[in-house]
Amino acid sequence: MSSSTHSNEVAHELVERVKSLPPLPAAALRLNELLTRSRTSAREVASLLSSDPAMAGRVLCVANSAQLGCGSRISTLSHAVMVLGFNSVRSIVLTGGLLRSLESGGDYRPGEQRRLWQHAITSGALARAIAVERGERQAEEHMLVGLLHDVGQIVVRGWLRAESERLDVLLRQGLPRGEAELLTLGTTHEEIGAELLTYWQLPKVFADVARFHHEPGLARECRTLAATVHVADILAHAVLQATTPDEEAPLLSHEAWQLLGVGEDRLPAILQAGLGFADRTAVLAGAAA
Amino acid sequence: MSDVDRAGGCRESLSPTEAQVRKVFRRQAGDPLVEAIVRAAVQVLHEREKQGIR
Repeated sequence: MSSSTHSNEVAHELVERVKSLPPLPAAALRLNELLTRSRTSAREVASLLSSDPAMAGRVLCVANSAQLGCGSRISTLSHAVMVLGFNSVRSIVLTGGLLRSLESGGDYRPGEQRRLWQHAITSGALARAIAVERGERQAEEHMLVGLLHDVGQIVVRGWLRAESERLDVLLRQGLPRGEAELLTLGTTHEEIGAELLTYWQLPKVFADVARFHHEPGLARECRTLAATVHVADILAHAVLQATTPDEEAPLLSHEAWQLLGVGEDRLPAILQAGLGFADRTAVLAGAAA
Repeated sequence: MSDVDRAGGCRESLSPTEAQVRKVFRRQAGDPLVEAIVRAAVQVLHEREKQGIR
């Protein structure tokens, strides 16, 4: 058996062990699928939202906040969807779904949950900013893939507490994360994330990017998207350093950067745009606190 | 030699923010592209600090 196959199997077993991790709300998954179709109406989206009261409430709440000062109150989901637009609704629903998964059941250390959440949102927003800079039409997809790329870390930190403690000992001794994870978990957070995203039945590209975000050159079908998330992940480490003082940034792949074709002089603008979007997304998802 | 010195910076002139960012990239210090990322991150973080955004 190859070491890669063994790692995949261990990751699969670990995800089986953490089945108590709540799935992303089914309605969020169906909504994601619905919004990728070319002809979807606000009424269809509203009908789907109404099947999940928590999600419907959040969308109505955000739509009414967006309308503050405009006099009229938004009381129907179709009106809310029209006010916010499909992409905002998708971001609200998926970020809210991830947040719910994070909040329920995990055994985190103090501050760890907030740090994971900030990294997820900031990476997603920076992936979106890079996509906008490159003139990509699917910038929102970059946001969502970036948001979920490190979901394996959430499983390790919140659901595999004993392994996580041993992992931290090795990291403090200076072992690279990949080696430390193989020694403590028998697999990596990339493989665990890919398994979980497959279990959640998200499109294959989500699992591929989670699996290859540290080695985007190995992503055969979505290399540019993996390269975007790879760079976004590293930029997120740079700007979130204050919240992760002991964490080192992953090694930067120059090939990934060159593949994006972005000039170094655009880095400040990308960081500004990404952080601004992350701030707004955190508020929209109700995670500012 | 401290991590910050090793990263190529002059310790006396570094702000706390820059020292933290450089610490995150200590094993990649000297890579010109990483240096560009560090400079951009520090610039943007300083601007946000001035605006009172954390």
